[in-house]
Amino acid sequence: MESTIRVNELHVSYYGKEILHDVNFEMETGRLIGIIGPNGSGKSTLMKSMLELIPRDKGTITIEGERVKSKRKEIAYVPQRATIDWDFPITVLDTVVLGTYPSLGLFKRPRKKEKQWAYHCLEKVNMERYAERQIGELSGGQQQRVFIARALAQRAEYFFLDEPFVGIDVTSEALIIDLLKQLRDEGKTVFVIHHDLTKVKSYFDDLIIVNRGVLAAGPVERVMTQEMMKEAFRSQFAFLDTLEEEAR
Amino acid sequence: MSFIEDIQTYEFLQKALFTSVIVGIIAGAIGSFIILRGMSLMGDAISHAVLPGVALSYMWGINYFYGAVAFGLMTAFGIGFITQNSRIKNDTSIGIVFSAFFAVGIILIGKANTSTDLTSILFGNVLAVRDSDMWMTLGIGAFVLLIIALFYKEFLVSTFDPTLAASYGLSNKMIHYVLMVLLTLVTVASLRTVGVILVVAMLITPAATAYLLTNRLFYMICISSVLGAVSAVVGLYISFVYNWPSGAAIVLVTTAFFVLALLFSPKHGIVWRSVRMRKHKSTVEQ
Repeated sequence: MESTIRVNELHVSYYGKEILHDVNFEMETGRLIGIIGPNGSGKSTLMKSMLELIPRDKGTITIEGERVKSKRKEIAYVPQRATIDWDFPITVLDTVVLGTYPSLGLFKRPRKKEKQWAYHCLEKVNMERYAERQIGELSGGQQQRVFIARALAQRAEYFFLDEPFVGIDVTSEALIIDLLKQLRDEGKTVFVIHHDLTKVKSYFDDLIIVNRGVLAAGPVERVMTQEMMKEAFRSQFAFLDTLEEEAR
Repeated sequence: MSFIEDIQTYEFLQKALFTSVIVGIIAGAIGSFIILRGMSLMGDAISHAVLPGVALSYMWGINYFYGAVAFGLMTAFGIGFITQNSRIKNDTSIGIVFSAFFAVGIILIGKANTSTDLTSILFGNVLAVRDSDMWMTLGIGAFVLLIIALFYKEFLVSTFDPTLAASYGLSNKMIHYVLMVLLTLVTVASLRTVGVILVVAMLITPAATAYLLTNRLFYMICISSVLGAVSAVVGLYISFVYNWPSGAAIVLVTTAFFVLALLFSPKHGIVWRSVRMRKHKSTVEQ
């Protein structure tokens, strides 16, 4: 069996505007993989199209040789925090229980077993004390931990997290990255969209650099060169250059 | 109490009461999903757009159930089609589609020459509930509650986090249209009691009240249904005693509950919130 996740000739556009052009890469499974790139470069689009959550113009995605469709139940996706309705009438525990839905199937209700498992997942992110709270009563970092717990509750093989570290506290960030590393050590594959370049080397094994397409993909040390960063973040570097000039 | 005696005496009052209570329960239940999905306008649209269906049914001499359901579904699909295939936003396409259907309905009702005039469809006439209406409402009620019970889990996840639903293979589109079918059925059931203009109040006001009172979807649905049923009984009583139009009376009772919750809800009420804020302020100042 192949142990890679492969993206072939992926093209994605939105209302005729091209967002990703001819993306090709192959990543080994069992790794912690960062996806980085400037704002609006198509990172979220890449992740969503890898999961076939949005339509694509062309391209194939295979996970260990199989189509995404047949792997759905082994995939956990954590959306950006901003996309969630935090006023929704649901408790922390029930939010994590949602993670057991994919394996339950139609008509079956979550029972004691599912609730206990969800509670156990909450313990892993140190949030069990908040089990009965409504999700909107939590801080940003706590909310993110709850969604990580939900992903854990899915017992997935592949994890996809969209900007999990945006707007959260240092403790939560440390706890989450530790958990993600644990998952990697257990042989799971973890994709993380990330924006903070300073921590890339300590967080990830591999890197995918995105800017309207994939500029480079591979082990962090090999991919994260100065030239590559300059190419990917050209617009932002240009902005910094002008600032420096003005300062002079 | 003469109202209770009258209920025991007059069969038409029993039917009115029974039908209104069922409508209150199912409108409250489905309304909870409607307001959480941000589709309150959709409820308004479907209820107005069933009018031509009702008119055609009278013309062809069939039960108005069929015509109303057909037009309700056409509206749901029409709105979905325009939103998905153009740059027109959802609220705008709702406005366009339902007013067009409503206009057609007004013309058709004029042509239909029935004894059922426009007013009683627009505003309901609960005291004219026939046996067939009552059984139809009961059937719709049982069906709607059964579907909600069977697919509760799927409705919940697709409403709260459609991306999670899609990522494990649930079709949000399918769930949307199932809810639209239920919404249409509830609208049809409410035609007699509150009429097309005020159906939306039965859908969203008890649900919004419940939303202010609880932090769990299941309780929200229960509270909303109970409020819908209680409002129906109290509204009917008021309508009977003061000779008010029944639909309007029921709706105003739901509004009264809403205002109470808005002010006094333990967690989200305006009054307690300002009391808490003042308390906090004074402790800070000390």
